[in-house]
Amino acid sequence: MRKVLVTVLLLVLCSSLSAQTLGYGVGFYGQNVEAEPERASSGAEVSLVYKPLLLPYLNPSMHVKTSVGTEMDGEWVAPYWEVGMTVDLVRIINHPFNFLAHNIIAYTPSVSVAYQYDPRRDLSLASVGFSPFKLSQKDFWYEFFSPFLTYDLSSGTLDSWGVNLVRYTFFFK
Amino acid sequence: MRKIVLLLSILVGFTLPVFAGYFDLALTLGTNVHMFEKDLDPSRMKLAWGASVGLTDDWELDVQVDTQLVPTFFGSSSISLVAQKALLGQRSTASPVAGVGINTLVGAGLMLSPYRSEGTMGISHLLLTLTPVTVGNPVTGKRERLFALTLAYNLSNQKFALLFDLVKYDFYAVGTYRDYR
Repeated sequence: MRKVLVTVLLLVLCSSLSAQTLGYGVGFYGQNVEAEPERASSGAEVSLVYKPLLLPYLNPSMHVKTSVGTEMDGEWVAPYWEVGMTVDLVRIINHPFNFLAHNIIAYTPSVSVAYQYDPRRDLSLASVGFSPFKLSQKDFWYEFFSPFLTYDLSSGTLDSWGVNLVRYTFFFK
Repeated sequence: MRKIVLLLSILVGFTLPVFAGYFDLALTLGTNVHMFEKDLDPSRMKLAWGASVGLTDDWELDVQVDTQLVPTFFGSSSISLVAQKALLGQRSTASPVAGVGINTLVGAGLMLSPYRSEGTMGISHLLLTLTPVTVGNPVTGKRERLFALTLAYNLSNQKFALLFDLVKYDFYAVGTYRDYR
């Protein structure tokens, strides 16, 4: 199932349709594992984003992410790989956050759901995220203070929580 | 002693054109990481917030609170007070003419925190800081400070630590183009 999902995703990403809508992102994440506090980590998150549409409401996009950071003891780790979907709830031009940017910019708060894999523990997780301060331009997304929760898929319990303090996504043409 | 301090303060006040109309004030938001001092500060990620006060055309005073987000959400905090000088030109001209758009800041200051051997809040570190790139300036209303590195000397255990601020945003409330129309 996982192979099929990855193959379909790669096909979509490599199609000519993606020429106008593919982006890459870089962010600064921090994550705390509830049951194992020594596995708390922070570092860089990199992502690939596919945004096929530009809808004023419920605009969907797909993403693949990975992260590299250090744990509490300073050891370098890749705490998660992720594939999932993000939905921009609304697209608003007249909003109170225009002072954050030099130009007029759209406010597009989003929610995301994803499958996450933790290679350190060989663990499958479901991730739910919220990006309350997401600003969008034609070629850029700027996201600030985006929290996320992950749940163990086998037990259904909360496994970890974290924050993406900043994330910048650039859509190349 | 008090007389000397007073005289020095007056001298500094007259040397720096504090009263020449150069003044701006910004609110700051950004990221912070405290490295090489995990025994005192186990944080993995911090939120940087505070204020940046323009003292002259090329000097500013930055008050920055770094609050732990991971592993403890809104855990311990430190307060840094840093005087910084712009190296590549005027940061503000106190007129509609904007200052230099891209700049470099270098400065020194001190940190108040509980990251001391005693574990109590107090003056904990001496700071030397370098911000290699800033984009924007007070007159345009916004500024980004990128890749700031701060060498922190812990006064309680005589060891060095490092602070890294990936990005900080300054949103100017005073001293922007709106004030010079």
